[in-house]
Amino acid sequence: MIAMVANELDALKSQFSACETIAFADLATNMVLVTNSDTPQERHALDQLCAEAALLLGNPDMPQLGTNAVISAVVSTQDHLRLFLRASGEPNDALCCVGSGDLDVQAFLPAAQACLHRISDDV
Amino acid sequence: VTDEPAVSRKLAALGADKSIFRQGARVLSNGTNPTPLAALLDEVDNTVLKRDLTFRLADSLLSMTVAGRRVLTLVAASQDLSDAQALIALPLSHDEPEGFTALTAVLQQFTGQKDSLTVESTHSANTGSPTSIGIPVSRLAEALGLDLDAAPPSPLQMFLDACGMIFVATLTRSGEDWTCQAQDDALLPAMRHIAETQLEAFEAAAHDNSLPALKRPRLITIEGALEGAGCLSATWANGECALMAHDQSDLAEIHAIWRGIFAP
Repeated sequence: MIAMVANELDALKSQFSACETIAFADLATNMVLVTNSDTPQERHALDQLCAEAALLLGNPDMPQLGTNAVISAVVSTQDHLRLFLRASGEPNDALCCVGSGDLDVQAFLPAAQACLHRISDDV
Repeated sequence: VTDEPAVSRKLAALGADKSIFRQGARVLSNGTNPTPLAALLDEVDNTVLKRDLTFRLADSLLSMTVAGRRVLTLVAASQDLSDAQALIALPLSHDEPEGFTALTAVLQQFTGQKDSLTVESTHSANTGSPTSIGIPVSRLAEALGLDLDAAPPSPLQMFLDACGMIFVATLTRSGEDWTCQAQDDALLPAMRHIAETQLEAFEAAAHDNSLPALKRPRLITIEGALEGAGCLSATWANGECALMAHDQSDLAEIHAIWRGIFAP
């Protein structure tokens, strides 16, 4: 199962050269479960990425910032672009992505959503 | 006579954030904040001892000898700056209208591209002509419609201005107060609710989670968070904060504009 998820993450990353890390996380336990095979991120950074996902996506019934359930979040900093998506069928399944500012966000988001949907359905 | 505003500006510049270097050249502008023209004139304004300043913007190059906050002469220019070629090595003076007008045109042509501007400052080998009294930067700024003493708009305000009509509603925090601007007033109550009841807790949670500090500039876009609008965005920079509502299709452009202003 882990290999299947890793393959999905690797396949998504291979489509977007500006993407560096894609992680599949469980928001209920605040844990990154699987990452793409060549991520340079270490465990502490992955834990922070998951904490950021939990903060931005929030509880499905009570978002931290907003009045409705959050579908996805995009964060730009001076160094990176980070994206977080929640599975529509399983609100605790999330995808966390780190890339450079060159990442084509508009193309990446639907591809990542489809990837998360496939993973979440199979896990 | 002490020029107190000028001294204050110099002290502020010396106390400002550390400079960013790219391939040995100091980055003066990211193309937007400040504008390349303002950044170039500011660099001349900060040059008292005689120096050769070599500015690069995209594929263009403009090198000039500067001293005492005056442009004494042009040393070199890339071929695309056609008007500059005739000025190279000529002594410049604000009493010579032809050279003065030509230099302002060259500066406008050089800084016309929206790209990052860098400078390399070297000791000047140019002994110069004794008749070269130079053109004061204050005269150039006046001719080009720039006020060197004016405080530039904050980066966050520049970002909001650059996004223009993309945002259907905006709340901006200044101190304890929020000011609003909206094409769609219906979104404002929900945005005010978020600003007044959620934002502080969100900022505290980010701090508690040791997430990269909100003290550093960032832009967050949350899709689906606001009924009646595709996305809610929030940005923090230099102690300012703004909430913006916009369509999902504008997400990539908004982040590109933000990076153009805030990313070095």
